[in-house]
Amino acid sequence: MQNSSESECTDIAEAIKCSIDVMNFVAKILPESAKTVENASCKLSKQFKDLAGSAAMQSETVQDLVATMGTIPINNQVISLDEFVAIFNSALDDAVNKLLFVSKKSLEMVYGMTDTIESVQDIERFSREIQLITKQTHLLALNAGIEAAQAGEKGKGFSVVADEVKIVSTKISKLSQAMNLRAKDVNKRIKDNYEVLQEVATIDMESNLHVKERLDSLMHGLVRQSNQAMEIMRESVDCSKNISQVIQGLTIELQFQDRNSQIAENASLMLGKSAEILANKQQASLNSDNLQIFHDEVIGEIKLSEIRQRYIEELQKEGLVKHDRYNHVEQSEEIELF
Amino acid sequence: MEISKQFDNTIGNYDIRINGKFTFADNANFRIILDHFEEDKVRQITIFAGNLEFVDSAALGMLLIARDKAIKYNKKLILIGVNGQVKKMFELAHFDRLFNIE
Repeated sequence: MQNSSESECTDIAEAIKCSIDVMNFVAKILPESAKTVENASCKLSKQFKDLAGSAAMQSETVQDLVATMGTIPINNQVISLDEFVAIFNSALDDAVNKLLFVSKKSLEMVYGMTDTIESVQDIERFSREIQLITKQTHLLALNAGIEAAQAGEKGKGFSVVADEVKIVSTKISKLSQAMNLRAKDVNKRIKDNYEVLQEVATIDMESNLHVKERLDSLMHGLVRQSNQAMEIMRESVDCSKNISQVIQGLTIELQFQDRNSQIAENASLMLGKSAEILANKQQASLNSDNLQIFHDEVIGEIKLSEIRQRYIEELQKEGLVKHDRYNHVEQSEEIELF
Repeated sequence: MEISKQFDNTIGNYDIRINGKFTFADNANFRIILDHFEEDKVRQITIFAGNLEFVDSAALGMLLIARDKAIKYNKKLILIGVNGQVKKMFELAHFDRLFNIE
């Protein structure tokens, strides 16, 4: 019987020793496991932070792009599409105004030349009248010569005058003919210039109309396209911001590894302490007082108030400690940061 | 271009209707209208252009001369009913800033 009892005690002692070894081993690997989780979480967290940074950078880049959209750099100046349209329209208006100015002045010249042509035609008419008059004068001189010849000696003087009148009328006739020719020449030249003026005054403005219409539609299209692109980019900026915020949220969520490590550390300390107490008291009998001291020492190892509280509650629930025993325990913490 | 005109002696107004194509070739006909600006009895010239189909730059030039004459002789010049190509040309030339267009 005695041998049997000794054998049982040896078995219990062996079992407790095994348990202590297991507890020590678990206490050792528990922080390692927590460390593995912490390392992976830190790595993930860093990658998420990088991702959030990239999303934020993308958002800024697109925002910069939005700011530059709808603008055109010209001579170290940045102008908007609207300003560009205004400048182009102003240049086109200026060109049209100059065309119209030329056209108006040409027409004024046309009217002036029409008046001149009428004056030249008057000169031609006067010239023809002069020729008629000189013809009559010539005839009168001829008649006067005949009459003077019939008068004989007495008509000699009159015959000289008649000859002189004939010479003068011939000169006037030649002069008026020359004047008439010159007037015709002037008239022809004016008419030639009139045709030139017609070409100057009649400028094809249909092309200007088409340019204006095409420019207007082109600019409207550009502005519409630019606005659409800006709208899409703004949506992209919002999307990037959302992604960035979600990733930041995920990064915060990943900070659970701190809490996990603290819990693992406390669990490890509890296991370690339990193993230590068991190793020391292996030979002693476990009565209710010893158990109370056991729990006190384990509780003393717990740094995290939440774990401590839960452990006390579990013990109280199982009736292993008195309900009022740990009411005085201070809520001091060494590490309790999340 | 065809031109018809009617003078209202009571108010001193010339109603002038122009149809068809208004080009350089019409400068002599249009000068008759321009001469009316110099008449004392005339106070206003109203050009009805609803049936005008086409204007070239010379026609715009003639209208600008009419404007100058209206200012010079203190007459009122009104253009009525432009449309189609004529309206586009007026817009291109910003005639709305220069003329009383109805």
